[in-house]
Amino acid sequence: MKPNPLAVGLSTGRQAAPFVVFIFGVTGDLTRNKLIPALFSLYLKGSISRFRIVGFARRPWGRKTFQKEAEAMLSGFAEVDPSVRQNFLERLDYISSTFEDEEGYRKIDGQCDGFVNRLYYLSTPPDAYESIIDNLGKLGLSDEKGGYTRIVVEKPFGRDLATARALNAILAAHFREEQIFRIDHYLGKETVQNIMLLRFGNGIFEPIWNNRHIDHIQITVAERIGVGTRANYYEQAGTIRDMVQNHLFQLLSLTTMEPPNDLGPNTIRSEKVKIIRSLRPITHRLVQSHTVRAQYAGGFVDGEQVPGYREENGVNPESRTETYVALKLYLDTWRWAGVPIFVRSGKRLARRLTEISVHFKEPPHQIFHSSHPAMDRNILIMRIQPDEGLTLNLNVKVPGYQADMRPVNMDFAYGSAFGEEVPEAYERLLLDAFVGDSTLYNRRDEIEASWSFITRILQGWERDSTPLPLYLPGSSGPEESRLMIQAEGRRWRKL
Amino acid sequence: MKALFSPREVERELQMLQRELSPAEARAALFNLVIFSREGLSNPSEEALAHLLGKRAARIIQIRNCRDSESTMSVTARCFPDSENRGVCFQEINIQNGRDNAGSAPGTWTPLLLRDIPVYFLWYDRLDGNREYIRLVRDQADKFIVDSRWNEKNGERAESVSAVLADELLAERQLVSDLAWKRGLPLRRITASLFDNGAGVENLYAISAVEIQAECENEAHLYGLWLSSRLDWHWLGRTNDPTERGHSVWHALDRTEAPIDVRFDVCEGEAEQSDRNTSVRFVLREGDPITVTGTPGGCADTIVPGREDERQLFLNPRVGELLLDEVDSMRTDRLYIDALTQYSRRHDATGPGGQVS
Repeated sequence: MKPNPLAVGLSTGRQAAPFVVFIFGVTGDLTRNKLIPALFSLYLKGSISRFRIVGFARRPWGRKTFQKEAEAMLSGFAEVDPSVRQNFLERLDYISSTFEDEEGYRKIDGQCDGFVNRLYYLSTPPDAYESIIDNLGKLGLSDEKGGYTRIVVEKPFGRDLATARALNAILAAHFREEQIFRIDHYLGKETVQNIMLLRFGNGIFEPIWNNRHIDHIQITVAERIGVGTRANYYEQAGTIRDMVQNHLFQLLSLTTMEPPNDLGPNTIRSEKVKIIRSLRPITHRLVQSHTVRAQYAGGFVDGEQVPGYREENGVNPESRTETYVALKLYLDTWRWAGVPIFVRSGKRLARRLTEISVHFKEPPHQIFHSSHPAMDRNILIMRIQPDEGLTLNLNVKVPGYQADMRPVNMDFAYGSAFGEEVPEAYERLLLDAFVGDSTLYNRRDEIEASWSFITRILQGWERDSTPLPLYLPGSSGPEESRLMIQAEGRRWRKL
Repeated sequence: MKALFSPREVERELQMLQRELSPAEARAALFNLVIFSREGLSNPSEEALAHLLGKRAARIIQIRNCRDSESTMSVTARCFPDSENRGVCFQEINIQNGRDNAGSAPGTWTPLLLRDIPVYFLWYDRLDGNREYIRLVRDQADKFIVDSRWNEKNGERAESVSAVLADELLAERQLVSDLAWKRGLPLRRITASLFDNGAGVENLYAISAVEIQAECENEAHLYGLWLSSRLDWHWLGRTNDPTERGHSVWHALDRTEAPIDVRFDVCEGEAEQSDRNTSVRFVLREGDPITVTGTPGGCADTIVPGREDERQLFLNPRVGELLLDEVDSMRTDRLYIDALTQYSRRHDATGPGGQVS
């Protein structure tokens, strides 16, 4: 096909070629809260212009009902001209079917309406994945006919190594790896992407980003809320599956990976997977010394009484599901040998906070007198949320005749330096899937490498019948976590 | 001779104003924006700045040419709290440049530029009558931003604007942006989509005329130059009387030396609605024409023979959105340079005006 010379260089951002997207489980919250608003926003920005959106779900809706429901999902765009909104809604259609019934899938080709590019978005509970993938494959709907056919799979992507491998095998039976987009919305966050830009877009960090200059790294993903209405899911998952295997490992690999040669999806993902594979395994013998798990107890938050985890609705009163995890990790690489990486994540902690702090070594010979001896080390803090930005903790001279020093912060607030909202993660990720950029999606080997590491810990925990420690809501976590890092001569940053 | 002001006092006063307006600390300025305007001519910079306020902290220097005998200066600040209640502020210095020309002299305002951050010039004054001044100050700018729609409204025609930009700025490797060019992006995107499959691409080489109805001739001119540069046409210039208002015909030759007319007719409308009246019709050597027509409500209807008629989004970006985009990037659109190069090639051959007989 001859290229269109008028299309060259036109998009200031990226633009998707014409496509049709099928959203399985379209009646769920993800579609309502994220997918439809993100698609509309992309449409308003001109990133998608020729497309159809087809919902696929059990509810006996029709085209008109879906359009009406979708209109309500656009309530955040009240200022947009009604005719623009209508033009978007007219592109919506609906297939009413169970995920098992082949008849529903036979309607898919008819909904493509001349569009050769198609994307299937699995926004269903994971137990429906197998039926959907199998049916798509059996009926030849995973084939590429003159355009692309891609599939986006939402997390959780398995619950251990065996289930992740099984899901990958089902996908691989019908789709090539290039067609599969395993989503982790954390990677769509601007500030997560900014980690790579900070490291590799600035010349000053890379020379000191190694074990000669860095003492240790801390990664924290803390939440203030409890499990709320997600108890059913959480009981099956726990913090290690819900946060560590995916989000936290993404932060870890972006912070520690080697510089990629280019921005190609496979180049970056290959560097990330190398990091996960170089994690020193936490065998059952090391589980006690390298991991801490705990549950939040009942107590008070903002003066209001809140239940403990085991008292939450839908939670087994005998539950051993962790709501807090801390890990001591080592990367067996030339760059990171001997640098401990402490990660922690939990619910009902003192504040909602996601950050990566890089703690540099002390000067080899300190000639100045410190007014804050415990804080002599320079720390670079990458704040992911809230208050996205950077803080570099430096030592400066205290005014006066003495050569005393004290730490001060050099602060850069990413979001508010630019003073406006950054785009929703789903917008970025959906557009990436439409244009075929899988950089911010997980590759098969990446998923399996992380599950391989996590499954060892899970197996170690299974052998351990000691009661789970408790921590107070609004605290920094359990005492055991403090002791774990203290045993290495370090301390957690305050939450 | 009395100095117009002391830079030190200006800085002190700005800091004081900012502290009053933003006691919880303000964000550091990200860029300098120097706005050149003239008394008696419209100045839409306020509308543009209103969109930036609260999104980007900046130092704004307004230099307004006026008829007073002496230049004067005043300072002010505007702050808008962000999500952390820190001020995103404009530090504003307003210089009324009198007949003494003390206010516009570079020595007056350049000491007030914040160092080590970009300097953007936003030019709401005539271009052709200011060539000498542009030469004098262009080195101070990291990017020169004009809006040739504004120039047209204030009596400067497409060729004259293009000539100044090509000669004085692009030839000197200065970064240049024309908001009118950027405003045309949605139309260029829709145009590209009309020819975006195999058969469609062939149609590009069968165009015999392009008929544009739009509010702004300068934008139609840029659109024609874009087509010319992308399709490898030889742009010959205007064939009608350059003094004729509301109607233009430019002439080009395609790769086979076949003639192509690019015709423009003005369509009047409310400022906010005008782009909705835009239409472009591609006349082909054979077969039915291809058209795109703006509709009320921010969409456009497209008719391509052999394809189902379509309605696409066709939103008209506001001047503030365009400016925000410009102050976030330190680039000139390569396509814009290519388009202006079409003009300057013609301009080199025929001299300014570029009318062909």
